[in-house]
Amino acid sequence: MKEQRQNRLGQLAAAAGLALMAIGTGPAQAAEITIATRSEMTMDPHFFWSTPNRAYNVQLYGSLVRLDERIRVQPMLAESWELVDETTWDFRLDPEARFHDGPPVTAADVVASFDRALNLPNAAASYKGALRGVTGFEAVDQATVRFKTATPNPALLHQVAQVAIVPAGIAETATQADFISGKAAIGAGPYRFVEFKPGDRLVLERNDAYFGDRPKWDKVVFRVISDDAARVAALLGGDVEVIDYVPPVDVARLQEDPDIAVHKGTTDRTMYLIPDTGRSQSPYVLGSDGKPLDPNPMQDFRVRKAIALAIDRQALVDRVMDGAGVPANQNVAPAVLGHAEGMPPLAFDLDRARELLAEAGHADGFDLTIHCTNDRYVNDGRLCQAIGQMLARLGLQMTVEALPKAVMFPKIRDHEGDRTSLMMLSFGSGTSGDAGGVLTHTIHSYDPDRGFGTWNIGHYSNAEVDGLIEEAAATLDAEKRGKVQSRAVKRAIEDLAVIPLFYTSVIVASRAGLDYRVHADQSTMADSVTESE
Amino acid sequence: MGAFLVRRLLQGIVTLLVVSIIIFVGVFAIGNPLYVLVDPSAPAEVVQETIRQLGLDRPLHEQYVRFVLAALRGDLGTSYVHALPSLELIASRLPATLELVVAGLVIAFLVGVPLGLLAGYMANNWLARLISSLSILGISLPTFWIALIMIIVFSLELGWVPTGGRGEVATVLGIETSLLTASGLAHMALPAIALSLFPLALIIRLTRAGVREHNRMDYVKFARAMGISPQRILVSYVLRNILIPIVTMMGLIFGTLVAFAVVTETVFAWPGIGKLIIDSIKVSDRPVIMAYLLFVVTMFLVISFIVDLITAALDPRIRLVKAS
Repeated sequence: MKEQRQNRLGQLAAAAGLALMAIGTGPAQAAEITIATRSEMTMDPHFFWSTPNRAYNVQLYGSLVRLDERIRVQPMLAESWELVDETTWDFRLDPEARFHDGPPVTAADVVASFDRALNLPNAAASYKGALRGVTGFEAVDQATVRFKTATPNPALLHQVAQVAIVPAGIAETATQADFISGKAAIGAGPYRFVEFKPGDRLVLERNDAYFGDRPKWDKVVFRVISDDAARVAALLGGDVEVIDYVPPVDVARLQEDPDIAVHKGTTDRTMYLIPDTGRSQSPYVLGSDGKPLDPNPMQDFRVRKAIALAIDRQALVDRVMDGAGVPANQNVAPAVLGHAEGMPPLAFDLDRARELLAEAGHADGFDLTIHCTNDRYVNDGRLCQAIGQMLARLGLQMTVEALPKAVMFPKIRDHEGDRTSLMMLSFGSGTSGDAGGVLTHTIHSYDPDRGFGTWNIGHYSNAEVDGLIEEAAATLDAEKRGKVQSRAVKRAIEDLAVIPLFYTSVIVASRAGLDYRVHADQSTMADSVTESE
Repeated sequence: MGAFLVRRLLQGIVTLLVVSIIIFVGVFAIGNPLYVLVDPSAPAEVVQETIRQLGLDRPLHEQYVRFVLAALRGDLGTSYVHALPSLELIASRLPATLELVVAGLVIAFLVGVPLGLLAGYMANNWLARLISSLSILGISLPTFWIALIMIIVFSLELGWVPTGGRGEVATVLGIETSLLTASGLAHMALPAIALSLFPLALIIRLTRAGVREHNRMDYVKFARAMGISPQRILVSYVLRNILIPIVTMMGLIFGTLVAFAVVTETVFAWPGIGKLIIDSIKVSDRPVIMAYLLFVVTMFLVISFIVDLITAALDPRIRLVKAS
């Protein structure tokens, strides 16, 4: 509040034409920042694996490597790494890396931290999920940690980036309560623990002994404000300097406010529709007699093409998303390795769509239910309605079913159950850093024993695509891997295995005079906030 | 008194059991919470293993028996998200909510009873009519809307108070409170007032109706005939009598406000149990949802018991044996 007034005063002075340039740039700010964030932190760094938690962890505890704003791997506690052979990786620890209480970070600390992350009891969203295919890790010497993988595993760097490193003594004995009280909240990250009030705030201060780039702020306060409107109000009221997850509907208004700056970027996520191509009868595709159609029209490429053509992506982005998104022609975002270049945009052509539907023998349409979440993605319920209307104009008899994620996800994850006939979903690439995550989880044939296709809700199956995905998953060379992945993406989208809608946006707002470097995985990082020129 | 206590206790246990079954079946019907919690890229075999570890693959009745047995040992499960026992979690957030609710109720009582007395005593006066009309507004306007308007006016336009959060707290006897710091009071003002509006309006109407009803009764006429001053009749005789329904009402409202301060806490980012439960429902944090709902039921049982005791103290004609 006070800072804002001073800033306004500075602007006034400059506007009055006073030749005091020093005032025009504003007085020196106390280097303290308050960030209102949607997601609360789990203080125990090994209890709950999620992207927001990883962002907090890397600022406080630190990890072997970190992910930058474009989800690329950067050195952190490990200054370098090398492949010993195709399944063995050695990480060299930075000799300058020190824990907040003084001692250097050693290989034993790293091993103890990974042990804890893998074996912490009662962890519902365990870090075990992040370390698939990692078969072992050991200390080679004081400063070298060796990881073994079951098969050549290009995702390993992104995997180790998920796990926070704490001193071995803490990893072996600390309880969850010790982290919450701060007693055990000791790591080697750029910021140190000051205070944690569950449901309210996490306060950090600069770690002056940090071995990397000097942390930007003396003190950082993360305020947990999960309600969108309340977060925006906190920024407008001057209570906080930065807010994350700005609701798109407020962007236009915030941009008009001279005291506010809006920072946008694209994420690693795509919104898309999943048609049920796996079953000859689908429970929510009904004929006029109210029985499931046989054969299931979703298996007909012409019907999928008709649906793809009937959706006006630009209208979805402009009207429903208030501009927060970019129409997509595939399911891998442009910033992600494996994005297929040179694919044509997915056109909106209602006449052609109706023709195709008639060619497929459904000139009179059929009953179709589209399923969506209504509390998982930005505006998901409204998107569902809009898509339902667009498909109704195509001539289908649409039912729109928007459900809370707590109901929806168990329904679609039961691969033996009804699942859906057409549903809207979004998938990101933050945990693999390339198209590998999207491809193995959402496009590869459903194969629970080998861990493929967990989110392939429509049970799309194409042996050629599967082959490419598996080939890429074992290719360590990034450039080659990206090429194979983009071939898989291209092939799957030509087949309309899924129907892409748009790439989503990340929107952060701050008071004027601050800049923010947005992260594609929507992490909220204190050091991405800078004073603008 | 002894028989009353025993009967109340038994009733409470049965209620808790029945409610726990209903809640458990309901929560179970939503589906497996892990599919919501776990990062989508977690491999299915890891998720399945965790489901087995947490016992979520067992049949409903088996999970329920396990839950009850653990609950009898005082263990209502560990939050999937916060890594804390769910009871501990609720206990840690409860003071913030209690403080807000008590402040809201005190405001409602201190403002509502005098206004209600005024409105009832001078029924045809313009001021009385104004009070009655405003009280109807207070009952019918939704809290979240009033709260947003208050934020726009008092925080954004006038800049008098912060838009939300709890501010600084002082610790007294191990309990944190906002009431003793300037920052705490400033943060608390808007949410407490927003929360007080509904009970305030209700208390005005109850008081007003009570005064008008009692003013026609024989004991008031008699007192008047004896030459006791109207003010004294109102405060010493009428007020005492009409307090009984008001206290009963406030007991129930207290429970409702604690249990469902959700809206106010969400709008003002107040770190109480309302915000906790809403966030927990969103991510299917099953142990917290279960513990919270059982806590609420228990709280209502206790409150209605205490209300009975207070009512009995206010009115010697009420005997506890009959009260159940």
